[in-house]
Amino acid sequence: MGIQNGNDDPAYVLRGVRTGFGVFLASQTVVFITIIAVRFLMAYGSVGPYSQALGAVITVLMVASALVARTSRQAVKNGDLSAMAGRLVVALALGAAAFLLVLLEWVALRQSGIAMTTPTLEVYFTLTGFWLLYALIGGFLLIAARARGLRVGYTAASHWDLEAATYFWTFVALAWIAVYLVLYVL
Amino acid sequence: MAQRQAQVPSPPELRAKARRPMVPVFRAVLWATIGFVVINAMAAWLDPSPNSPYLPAVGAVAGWFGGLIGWLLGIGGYEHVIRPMFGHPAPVSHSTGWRQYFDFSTNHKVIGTQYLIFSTATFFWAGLIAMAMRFQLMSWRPTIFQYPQNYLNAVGIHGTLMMFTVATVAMIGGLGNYMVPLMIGARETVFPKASGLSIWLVPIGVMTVTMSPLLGNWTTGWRGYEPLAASDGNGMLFYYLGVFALTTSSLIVSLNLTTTIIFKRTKGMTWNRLPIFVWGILTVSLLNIIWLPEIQAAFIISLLDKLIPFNFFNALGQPLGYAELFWLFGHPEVYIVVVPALAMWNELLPVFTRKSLFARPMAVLGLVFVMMLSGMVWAHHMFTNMRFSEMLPFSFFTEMISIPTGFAYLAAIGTLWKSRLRLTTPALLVLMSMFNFLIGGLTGLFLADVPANLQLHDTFFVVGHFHYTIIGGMVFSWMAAMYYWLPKFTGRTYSEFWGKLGAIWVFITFNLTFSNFFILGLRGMNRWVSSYPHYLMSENFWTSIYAFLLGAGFLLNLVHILWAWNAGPKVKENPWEAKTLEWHTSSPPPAKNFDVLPEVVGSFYVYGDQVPEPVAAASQIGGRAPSV
Repeated sequence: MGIQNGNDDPAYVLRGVRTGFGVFLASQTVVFITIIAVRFLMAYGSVGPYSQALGAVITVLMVASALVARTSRQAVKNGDLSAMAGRLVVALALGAAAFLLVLLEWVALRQSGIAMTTPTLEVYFTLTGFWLLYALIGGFLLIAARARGLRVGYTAASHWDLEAATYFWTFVALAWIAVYLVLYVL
Repeated sequence: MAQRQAQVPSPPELRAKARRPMVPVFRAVLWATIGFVVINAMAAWLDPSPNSPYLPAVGAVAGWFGGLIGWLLGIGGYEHVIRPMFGHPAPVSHSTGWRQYFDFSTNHKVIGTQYLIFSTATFFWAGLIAMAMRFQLMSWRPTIFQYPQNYLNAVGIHGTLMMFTVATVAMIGGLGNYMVPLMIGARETVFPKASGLSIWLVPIGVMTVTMSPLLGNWTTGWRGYEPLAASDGNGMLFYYLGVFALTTSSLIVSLNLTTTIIFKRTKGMTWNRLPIFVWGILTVSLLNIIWLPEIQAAFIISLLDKLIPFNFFNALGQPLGYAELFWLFGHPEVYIVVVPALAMWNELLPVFTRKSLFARPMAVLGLVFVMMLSGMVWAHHMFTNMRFSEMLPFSFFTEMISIPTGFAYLAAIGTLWKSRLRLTTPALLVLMSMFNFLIGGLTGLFLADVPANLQLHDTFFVVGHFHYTIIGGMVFSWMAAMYYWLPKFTGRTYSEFWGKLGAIWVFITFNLTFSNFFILGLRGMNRWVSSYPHYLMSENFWTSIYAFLLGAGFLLNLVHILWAWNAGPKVKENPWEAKTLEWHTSSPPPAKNFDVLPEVVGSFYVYGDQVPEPVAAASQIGGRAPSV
């Protein structure tokens, strides 16, 4: 590990910030691991009466959203800010669609007449509810990163805010994949 | 005319002048109030509750989050974090003097001082609650707490505040934030803005826990045990939320300090030369990063249990599941509290003995292995709830963890061996801390042993044990650190007479108070009861008298430190002739810590006649100008 020497080299400073952010994201996996542990404690391996098709569609949407968000970084490296802004809008739209589909599943489950306090549904609402919260924060970060990029202008060397937002969004997508596997598949 | 025009302030200056009287903390209170009232009203409108039309459970929780956001934005998050995120320039904070402590700051020394202020204030507030508890226990019948629930709620608030605002905050958020950048030769931390916001989660957390009984008593203690929590009042909600705020603050501190230690070390500050205290902070920060999100998730699930309501951990669900999740965090928490204290002993003893630190690598390894083993001992808190076959491994690991703890302890003993200790107040407090921690550790061996544990479970013996480790180990070390670094904080020093008197006073009264807890426990005094069999009254009466004297002793130390901070005699730079980097800059340190970044060329813990200085002189490193 490098040792600084009053090192104000932006690349070195960025490495520290990036590592810290990575540690933060790693710490947030513990939240999902805990709830997944509770899921197996409460509902064992039972799969609830939620729509398999909807779950698969949400997964596809989130994977696509995360990949598009990542390409916005490439756009900045190519010096194309309008492409960056456009791709973030697409990523946000895909993410918003996934978000709304989770809410749609919530409504469908509420309308199904099955008690919310059934262990599988308790687990479903809790795990997806946590995910919705992270998705909301991720969406806010993407909007802020886009606005900042358009206002101050990212460069290939300096676009940490966009990087952080897309890292977080990738985390949100990976978290959904874990949620999907645990709730729908395993 | 031209002269008159020159004197007329421009509109931006006028606006700045008009804004100045509003200290940010007042604006934060205003915005938090608005956030709470508006969101609570909206929630109450959307989800009306016939039993509590003005403050329903859902409204209280939603309103709390509204208040939290208003508070953080009002304190400076709006200008310093949110607007810059959208590309607006961040303002430069010009607060100085007392105002800077009521403002958003990115200066790690201001943030560290803010943490110390909140930790100290909460220590005395939670201590006052303990005095009320001890007053109650002077009699075997209810006196000031007419109902057991009131007493238990006081116990819970005392424990929660002491654990989450004092024990895990004072040495990490307070001394860690202040000292770690100085000790590794850095000018700032990696995430100064996040750190500047994190401190302001502490007062909101303390207020939330303190005000929780307004929503109804909760009787679970600081552990929030289920299924008791399920039958408690809505005050339980504010316990979860208050702890959420406090643990989020500690998590941010840990992320910031971990990254800072990895990336901001000055030239020559290799891992092998890292100060012991910094090693201690690094190991507990890693514990925080792993375990705090775990307990936060468990608490949010418990909150949903009460709010929705779900049945995760109540009597219809898995109450033991909650206990398991709690102690998975809860026992590492003990080491989060104690490890900085162990590190502090080994930081101070070489300075006061002028003797090389004995077995330094083993002292560091001890801290690291305590960290690694701390997640494997948790179930010894649940021996009454498990199968015999499960007890053995946890009993084994609990006894095993005394080995790495012993490394740190023996490094201190080895350093003291045949030394000529300068018996200053900090050195005296370290010796006292070592004695107290020894008692706490030895009584811990009894509790690790299954047959003894099953007899002593939930008695005052356990309360005595953990107070010996936490107050006896951590608080005494915290006091030692405060006296040791006082000249660094202020350029002033304390009175040795009053310092030693204060130390001896708290040492004697502490031991009188908590050694009695062991006897009380062995004689059958249970925890969690406000009334008890009459035969225990005399013992309890005198324990309470000692406890009041202990409280007075802490107050004496506080007054003394405050006096020394403001009006103590001026002292020369580096009065202890210590070697670590924080002493290689002026006292108090300048805004950016070092005019010229120091270069480390040797160990800080090697003493002797021919030993070269561990820090290169400014002339040797070229007198680089600060790049600030």
